[in-house]
Amino acid sequence: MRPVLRALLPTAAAVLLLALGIVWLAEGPGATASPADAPTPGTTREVAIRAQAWGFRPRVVRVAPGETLRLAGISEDIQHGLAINDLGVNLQLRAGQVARSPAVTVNLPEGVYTIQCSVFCGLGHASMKAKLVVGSPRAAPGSGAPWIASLLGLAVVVGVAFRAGRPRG
Amino acid sequence: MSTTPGAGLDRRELTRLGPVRRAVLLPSFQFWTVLPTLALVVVVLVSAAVGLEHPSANFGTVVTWIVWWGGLLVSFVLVGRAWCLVCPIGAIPEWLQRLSPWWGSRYTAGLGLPWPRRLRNLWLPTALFVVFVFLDNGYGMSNSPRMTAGLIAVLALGAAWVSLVFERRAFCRYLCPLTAFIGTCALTSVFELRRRDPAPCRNACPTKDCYRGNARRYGCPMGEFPGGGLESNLHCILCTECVKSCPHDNIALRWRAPGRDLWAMSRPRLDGACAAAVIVGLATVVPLLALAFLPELRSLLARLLPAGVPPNDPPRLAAVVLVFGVGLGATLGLLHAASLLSRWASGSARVTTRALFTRYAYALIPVGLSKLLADLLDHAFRTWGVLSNVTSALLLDFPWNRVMPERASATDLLGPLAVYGLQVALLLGGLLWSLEALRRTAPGPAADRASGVASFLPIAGLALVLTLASLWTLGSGLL
Repeated sequence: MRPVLRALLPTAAAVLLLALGIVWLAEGPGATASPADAPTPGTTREVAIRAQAWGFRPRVVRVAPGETLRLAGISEDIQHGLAINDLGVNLQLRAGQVARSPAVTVNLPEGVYTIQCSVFCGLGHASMKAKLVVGSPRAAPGSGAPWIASLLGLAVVVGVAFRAGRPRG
Repeated sequence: MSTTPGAGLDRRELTRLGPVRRAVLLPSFQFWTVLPTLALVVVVLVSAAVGLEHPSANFGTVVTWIVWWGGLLVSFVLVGRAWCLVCPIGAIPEWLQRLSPWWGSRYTAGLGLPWPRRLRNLWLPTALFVVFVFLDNGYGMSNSPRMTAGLIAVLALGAAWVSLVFERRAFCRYLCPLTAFIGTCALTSVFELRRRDPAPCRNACPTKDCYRGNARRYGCPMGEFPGGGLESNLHCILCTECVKSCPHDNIALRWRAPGRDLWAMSRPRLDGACAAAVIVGLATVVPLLALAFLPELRSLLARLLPAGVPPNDPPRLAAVVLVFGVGLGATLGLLHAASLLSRWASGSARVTTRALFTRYAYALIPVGLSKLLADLLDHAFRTWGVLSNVTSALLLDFPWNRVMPERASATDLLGPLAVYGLQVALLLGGLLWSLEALRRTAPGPAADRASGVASFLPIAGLALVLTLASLWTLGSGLL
């Protein structure tokens, strides 16, 4: 087993370091954007959202249940979309031009909803998302999903490693 | 490790089936397969050139970047490079060169010069693929109808020009910006076109018609030599010219283990391996770095470079170049380090780091391909209905596509968490596929299991890291 240990130790150390780096990159720099202003019930609030490849600022928009919103989106680079499917909003964002949605009332249960780019905009399009937080839900339901998926990935590697070294067919 | 045909493979031969055999032996087979895509590409070109500038309402952009791109990714696994079989951008210049859509012609409109020897590799196509992806991510080509039309026009004119100067499909093999991508991903296919038995090719075939052609049929348009022992799908476009031209009926289309080329190529080349590593890096590492650093990097570079009007904004374009450079450099560097560690762990003096790097790069393709598919899965499920919207818009003003539909839907078929679940399944499937390929390529004497496991661990660790990058990039929206 000595050769296995000799390979396992540096590999495990490198994977751990890189994995921590990945989690930091995915959660870190972009996630520090501040939430939108606190909601003011009874008025139509304009929420300004800036889009760039590949993210929105702010990344979290907080609204009160029943609040009326008008979304004002602008792209800082190429064309993007700003869609909140749960509210039926889908704006096309061009560089430097503000696009405004009609006033929409947030008649949604308390929870976390997805704000997403609706125009296929390149390599990072699938991760171009932000959150619409209605009310004060406890936690986003999917926040633990990447952790579970990562553990499953590790299990796959361990499973195949047990088969490695056997005669190849 | 090369493919060794034998009698036992007959059950997997599709060319034994009557309808398949009749279809591939039909002289006009490729012509008929190209016609539908030619009609579609003409409509796409017209709507992208003069239609609505809204990328989600333009038929040309949606069909090109969602339907075609998605279909292309899926087709690699099912039918390898079969897109090249039906691609009109490659076929029409070929008809022009031969002065015939399918029948054997004695005349040619081309000079028929051989492609320069120094360029007979995938280095240039890999660089062109990176430029292609940069144009998309720097200038937003995939959400600009006019740029999409320009791309199609440039590719069509370039292919026509090259076919009039150089022999065979030189453009498709050495210049198309997608050839390195399509070729390396086609290694995952479940189909292959190969000779049945090496003996007739070696001993009874002085004419080598599958390569040279004859009075009735053409040789391989991609310059491959199936009778000489073609052993990968890298350049095979399944045009079946070799099936038709072989005088010994010795070429067969058959099923095989999915992605067999990933581990079974006897002479994998470094240029193709680097193309594979670049594809994997662009799919996994570059999006993560862009997600984390692109806006900050742009702000930083704005202090050094004059700002412009997007997309011609020098600080942003420089930031994209930097992210691409660092991401691809990191991918190649990590692959080299894993190969080095694997060699050291194997304790084998016979294997070189370069040989391992080359084999491992090909085996990692499923990790990259599954990420590209996962990206598209999100778009397909979360902006469901866009294809019907653009088709309605096209029909309102066919084929110009200048009339905006009254209502564009913003509906989703699945919620974000369900889509993420599917993406995870896809990414873990890609990881498992790559690990199986890596397990079969990792060095280590068969008698010494510990060395085999030891040499496998470093590259398996890298496959896991690349998958984690994809899992966390896609999961960042859920956090």
